[in-house]
Formats: sequence, structure tokens, C-alpha cells
Amino acid sequence: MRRGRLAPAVPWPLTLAGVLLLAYLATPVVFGFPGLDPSTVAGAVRQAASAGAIQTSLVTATVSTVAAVVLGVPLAYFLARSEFRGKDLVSALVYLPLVIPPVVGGVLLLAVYGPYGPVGHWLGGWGVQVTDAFPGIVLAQTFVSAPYLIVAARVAFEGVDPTLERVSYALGKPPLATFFRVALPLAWPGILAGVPLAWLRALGEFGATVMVAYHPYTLPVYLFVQFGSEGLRAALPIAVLLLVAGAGVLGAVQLVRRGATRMLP
Amino acid sequence: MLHVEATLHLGTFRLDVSFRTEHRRVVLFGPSGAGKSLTLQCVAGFAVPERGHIEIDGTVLFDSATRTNIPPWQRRVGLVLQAYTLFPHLTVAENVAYGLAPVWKGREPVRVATLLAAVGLEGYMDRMPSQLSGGQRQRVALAQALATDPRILALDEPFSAVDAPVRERLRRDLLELLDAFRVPLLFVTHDFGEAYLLGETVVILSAGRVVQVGSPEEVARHPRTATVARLVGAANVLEGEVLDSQDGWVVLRAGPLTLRTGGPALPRGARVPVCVRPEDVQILPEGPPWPRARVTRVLTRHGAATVVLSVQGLALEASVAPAPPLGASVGVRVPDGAAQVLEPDDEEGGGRP
Repeated sequence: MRRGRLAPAVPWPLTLAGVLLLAYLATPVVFGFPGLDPSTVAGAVRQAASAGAIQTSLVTATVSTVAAVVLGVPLAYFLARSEFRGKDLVSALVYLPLVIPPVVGGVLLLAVYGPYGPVGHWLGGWGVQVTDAFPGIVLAQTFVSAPYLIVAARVAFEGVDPTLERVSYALGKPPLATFFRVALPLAWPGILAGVPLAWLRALGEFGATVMVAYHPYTLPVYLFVQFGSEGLRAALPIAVLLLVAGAGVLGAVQLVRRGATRMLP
Repeated sequence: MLHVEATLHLGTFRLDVSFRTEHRRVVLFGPSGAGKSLTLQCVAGFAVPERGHIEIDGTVLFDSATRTNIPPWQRRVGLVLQAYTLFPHLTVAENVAYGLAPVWKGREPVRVATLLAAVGLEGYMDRMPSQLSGGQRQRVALAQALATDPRILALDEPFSAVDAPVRERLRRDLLELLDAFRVPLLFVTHDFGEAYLLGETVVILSAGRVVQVGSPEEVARHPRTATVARLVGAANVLEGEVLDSQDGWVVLRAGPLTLRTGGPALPRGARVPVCVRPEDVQILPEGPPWPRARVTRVLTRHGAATVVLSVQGLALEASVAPAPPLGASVGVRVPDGAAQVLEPDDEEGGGRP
């Protein structure tokens, strides 16, 4: 007999369904890389590095994430705090990149920022090239990854009691000071939770990127190119690299979060 | 000096309040939904009246005619609310220092220590709000509000979430703080005992309107309408018929009771509401000349009892000690002057349009 507080039991049909899905999700990780020895992976990593794909991916994913934080946090605060007609429409716009195929996003970005698009043409006049360049990669990655950050930040801001902001006003702090001293610090842990998600989504971005910026290669584009020219054997080690990066970041986040929870009183 | 006039619609609720007082301790008192908190929010600047004028000690915070509306962060209204509203990510000392007035620049730690000592929490600087009891949190909130050198302390039922014994202590300490910091008070409560203790002026609100303004003794002794009479604890509101009246006195009949009291002359035969406080109703041995009554319920309280009497069908509450037994037949007497002639309730214009 179990003692202590009664936890709700999960009935067996639900357990069965859960186990089936878990097995399916685990299969590629467990059986996807048979006979892949570490030296092959190391060789592929060196090759990817010499092609510049690793550096490109790390830099662009980081720049995209910073852009998503700097611009996405104010937008999230706005969505959490203001009431206006058409708010649902604005929300839908934010969620749109999550539900459309990334390649569609790439096409739309090309139409606007491509050499013949309105913004791309104008930027070209200033000597700024978007397509097949760093800015294009960052645009594509921000388009698909910013919603993760915005959603996390909005939920975090909605969890902050607006009464605290009113008390801050009464204590003489105008809205901007109140945002930085009350709303942002209280929402910060929730916003931070969205950062690794946005970064990983940017790192793994393929569909929109390949449309806007085939060059310089990011890791996913490089993987696609290697697969096209040399087949699965050449693509697998890079897949391992991206998988490890994802698992590593998620693991690190878990560790940090557990450490933070332990520090709380 | 506090001068508040505010008209404001919020959904179906209509607030239409107006009062002005020279007193330093003002209590907004009334049932829930009367508009007390909304009035306080108007003073703090979180609710903007459609028409009105809000002025504290000569400083106009709001005036619809001149389009004056000082934003909340410039009003220096020290706000403490019922819910615990300390910043959870800051220590006690940081919470108090948060809105510290600019004159204390360079002396912040000293001022924070002084404020915390004033609310009796010297050793609590480095605690987090989550480590404090409810009473302690409200003490820190008071220190936090006082740190801004406020024009007025605006407190919205600040002690109602706190345990009863602590609440009593907090009320007394609040009075000492007001003297020590020479700051006026605007206090919202639905507890008349609290209003009586803290207020020099009590503003009674009902359904979005001011129904009476006066000192606690005045409104308790001379409630203007039946609504006020019930709110201040004059539980017996009866219908009286004027038997005789001349300037300065009235004789009324309320069921089997004959009531003699002071007041302006009323036309003979007029029907007016009257109230009698339970503590003014006397219970005597049965027999003439007192009307006979039967004890229909006994509510024992700490130190006293309330009995419900049936005076030949007329229900009457009396506070007495010791209480007669249930079902006893007794005589009942209302002394001359104890009854209070009321005005009819204001027509139902306020509250819901």
C-alpha cells in the first residue's frame, strides 16, 4: 500500500498511448546513427567548420535571438497589457510563422527583401544586400524563431500582477521606469525560458533560410547540400552535430533551472 | 484639507460623490459595491472621473473644467491596498527605498532604517516579502508609502486580510504613524468600528453616492437615513406615525411603542422612519405601563447579548446583559430622546442608472 498523499493515477490506455509515441520519438535517436564512429563525426565537423557553416550558424542564430529579445519583449508587453480592437488579429499575426510552412515564409521574405522586392530594392540602393548574405539568414531565422520568444514573454508578463505596476506608479515611478524595475525583472525568468527555444529554432532553421540565403551555408543548408552531393553517409554526421547541440542546450537549461529552484527560499 | 468631487460611469455602475473636509483623518465607509475603492482610485489617479475636482491641501490633482490631471506617479498619494503588494523580487529595504523622495538622496540607508524602525521592523531589512507575515507585509507597505513623503496616505482596507488581533494592533500603530509623520489619511473600510476608531470625518457611501458626512459620534448618534442607520449599527428601523409635534419635539407611535424624542416639528399623522439603537432598548419586569414583549431569540456574544423581542408582533433588537431566557415575557421601554427620526432614503438615482 502506498502511503502519503494520493496522486491521481494514469489509467493504462493512456499509459499505452504515451509509451507508443515515446518509442517512436526515441527510435531515430537510438537507431538512426548505426556504425557512426567518432572519427567520422569529427571529420565531418572539421569539414563543416572549414566550409564556415558552424560559425555562420552560431553567429546568425545568436544575432536572430538577440533581435527577437530586444524587439519581441516590448511587443509581448504590449500584447499582455493593452486592450484594443483588433488585438486578436495582431496576436494571430505573431503566431502566423508558427503555423505556416517555413518555406512559405521564405517566399514571402524574398518577395519583400529580394533584389526586386520593395525593401530589398531600396536597401540595394544603399549597397546593402539581403539575399544570399548574413542579413537574409538573420531575417529568415528571426521570422520563424521570434514567435517562440514572444509567446514565452507574453505569458510571463501576463503572470505579473498589474497591481504591482500601479503601486510603482503611486511610488513615483513613471511607466518606463516601472517597466524596467517591476514588470521586466518579474517576467525575466519566463522570458529566459523562451530564449533557448528561439535560439534552437533559429539554429535549425532551413525552409525559409534556403529560399532567402542559400549562401553562406548555415548548418542545415550545408547538411542539405552534403546530402544532395554525397548522400546519407555525408549528411548523418552533421545531423548528429545539430542533435547534440539541441540536446545539450535543453540539458543545460534543465540544470540551470534546477539550480535556480534550489536557490529560492 | 481634502476636497473630492467625482462623477464616473464604470459599466452599469455610476459613481457620483462629493465631499469636502478640513479634517486630517477621513474614512470612506459603506457596504461593498458602494464606490469607496473607486473614489480612492480617483484620488490616486488610477480612475479618471468624467467630471470632478480633487484637491489636497491646496494642490489640485484633478479638475475636469481646467483639464488638469496629474499622472499617478506625480501625485504623491501613498497607496496601501488590501492585497499584499510588496515587490516580490526586492528585499524589505529595497521595497522601502523604491519610492524614496529625492530629498533623501545620499541618506537613503538612514531614511530606510528610520522608516522601518517607525513601523517596528528594524531587523527585517534583508528579508524577502515572502518571508514575512501578513501584518509585517502591511507594515512594510506603510513604510514604503511613507518613504515618498506623501501628501496623503490612501489606504484601501489594508488590514482586512490580517488576523483579528494583529489588525487591532495595526490600527493603533497607524494612528501613531500619522502623528509621527504628520500625514493626512484617507481610509476605506466597510467596518464601522474601524471607521469610528480612525476617522475624524466619516464619509458614508451607498450605491455610488455620499449619503452622510460627519464625525463618527454624529453619524452613529444621528444617522440621516434608514440605510445609514443600519450601516452604523442602529439595527431597529421602524415606521412611526406622528401623534403630536411642536418645534423641538415629536411624539410618535410605532406599533405598540410610544416614542418621545427631539427634532423639528412634523405634521400630525405623518409617517416617518425612525431608528432605535439596540443598546438604548431597556428590558424591565413585565407589567404596566410598559408594553409587553416576548424574547424570541437570544444571541450570546462575548461580554453581552443581543435579544430579539417581539413586541406584540413588532420585532425589536436589544443589547442587554444579562440576557433574559428565551421565551420570557418582559416589559420594554425606549427612553425619551433615544429614538431618532430619519429622512426617507434618497430615491434610487445613484448606483444604477
